[in-house]
Amino acid sequence: MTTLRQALQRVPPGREFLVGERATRTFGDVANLHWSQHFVPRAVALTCEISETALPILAALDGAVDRVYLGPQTPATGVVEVDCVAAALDHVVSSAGRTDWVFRTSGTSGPPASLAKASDSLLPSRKVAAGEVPRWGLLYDWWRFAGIQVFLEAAASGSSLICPAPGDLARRALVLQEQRCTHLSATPSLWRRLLTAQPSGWTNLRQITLGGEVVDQQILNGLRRAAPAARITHIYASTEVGPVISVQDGEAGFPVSFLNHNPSGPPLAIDDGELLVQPAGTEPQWFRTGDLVEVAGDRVLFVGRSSSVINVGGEKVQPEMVERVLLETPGIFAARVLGTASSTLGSIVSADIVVLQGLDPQVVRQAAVAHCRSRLPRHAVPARWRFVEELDVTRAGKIARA
Amino acid sequence: MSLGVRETVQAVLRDVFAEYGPEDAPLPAFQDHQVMLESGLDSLAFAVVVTELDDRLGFDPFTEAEEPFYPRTVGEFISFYEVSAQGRAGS
Repeated sequence: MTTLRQALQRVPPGREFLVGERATRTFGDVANLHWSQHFVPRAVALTCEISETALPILAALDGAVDRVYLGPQTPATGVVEVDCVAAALDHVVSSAGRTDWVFRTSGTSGPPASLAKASDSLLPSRKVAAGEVPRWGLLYDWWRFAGIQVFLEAAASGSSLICPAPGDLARRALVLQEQRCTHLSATPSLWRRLLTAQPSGWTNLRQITLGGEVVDQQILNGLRRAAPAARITHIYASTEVGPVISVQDGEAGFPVSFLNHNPSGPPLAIDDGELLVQPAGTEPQWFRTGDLVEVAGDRVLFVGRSSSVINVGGEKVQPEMVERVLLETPGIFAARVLGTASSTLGSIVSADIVVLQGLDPQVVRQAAVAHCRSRLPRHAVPARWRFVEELDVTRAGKIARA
Repeated sequence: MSLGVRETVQAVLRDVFAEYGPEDAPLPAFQDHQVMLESGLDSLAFAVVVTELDDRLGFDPFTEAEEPFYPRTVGEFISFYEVSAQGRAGS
C-alpha cells in the first residue's frame, strides 16, 4: 500500500509546487516538516485554505493518525487550524499506517454529508508520460474529493499546482492562463463558463478533465474546438466509491463493453436503469450509485440522478435529460431544469435559461419549446421559463438544484 | 393601460396554444362557451396557462381555492380569475 506521504515524497525536490497567487515554494522546502513525535493526536480536523503550510501537514498526517477531517475554511486567512479533536489522548500511533480521510460530499441533491475514505483508494492511478511536465490548475476546493484528486495527481506527477484565489471565475481563468496552465479539471458547468471567459480558446491545455455532472456531447465538442491539442478525459467518480470510469474517446457516456470489462476501474452493472459499482474488496456486494443510465447503441449514457426526478402529474421527468435537449437548441448557452410546484399538476418542469449574448429570449424560447416538443415526452417539455444572467453553481462547481 | 383580467386570460390562452397546442391546428377563438377540454389544450398546456397567468397577474386562484375547482368552459375559467381578482381588489 502506498500512503499519501509516500506519494508526496515521489515529487522531485526542488520543483516549484504551489504557484499562482500563493507563495511559490519548492516541494523540498515543505516536505521537511514532521509531525511531532511527542504530540500525536488520533484524529485531526483541518479547516483551511490550501497553502504551503497545509502541504507538509497533510503529508505528515497520512499514516500517522487514524482519521483526518477536511472541512470548509472558516476565516479566509490561509492559516491552517489544526483542531485536535482527540488531542494527545494517546501518544501511541495505532493507525498502522492507515489513515481515513473524511470528506464532505458536494451535496448536489441534498445536504452535504461526511464520508470516510481510506488514503490508498485516493491515489491516482494514471501514469504520466516521461518528459511531460504538467502544470495543473486547481479550481475545486482542495478539501473536497475532487480537489484532493487534482492535488494528488499534481503531486504524483511532479507537476506545479496553480491555485487561483477563490472568487470570480473569469479572474481565476486569467490567472490560469498567465501561469501557463496545461492540465485542468472542472465540472461541465464550470467548463461552460471557462469557455466564455476565454473565448480565444485554451490552446495551452494538454489535458482537460471533466466530471462531477453529466458530461454531454455539446460540451465535449466545445472543448475540442477550444483546445484542439488537449486530451479530453471525462471521468465518473464519486466521493463514496472513488474513481470509477475514465473515457477519452470524446464521445458522451461510456462504451457498453465496459460492463463486461471496465479497463480503469471496478466492475460495473446496470440494475433497473441504475448504475451499480463493485469497489474492490466488497464482493459480492454492489454499490448503488443513484445515477440513472440508458443504453443507446454501443454507448451507456448518463441520464441523471435518481434523486432529482420531477413528478409531473404522475409522470417522471429526469431534469438532466431536459437540460441536454435544451442545450441542443441554438442560442441557449446554459440551462438548469428543476421541478416547481404547480396548482394543477403537482409539479411542473421549470427551465432557467442563459441565452447567448445579444439574442432575444422570447425568440429563443419559441425555438426551445419547439425543439423540446420534437425530442421529449409531452410532460417533460418545460412549462415555466425564466431567463437569467447566469446560473448558480455550487462551491463544488455543480449546478445548484436546491 | 394594462390589459384587464379577461383580455389577459384570452391572450395567454392564445399564446400557450401557439406554443403548446396541437401542431398545425387552427387557433380557437376561446369564446366563453368553448369547452376547455375540447380546445386542444391538454393538462400540460393548462398548467402552463395557469403558471403564465400567475406571472402576469400576480395570483393563482387554483392555489387559493379552498376546494378543487375544474372550470368546464373558457367562460368559467375567465370568471374564476375575475372573481379572484375582485376579491383581491376589495380586500
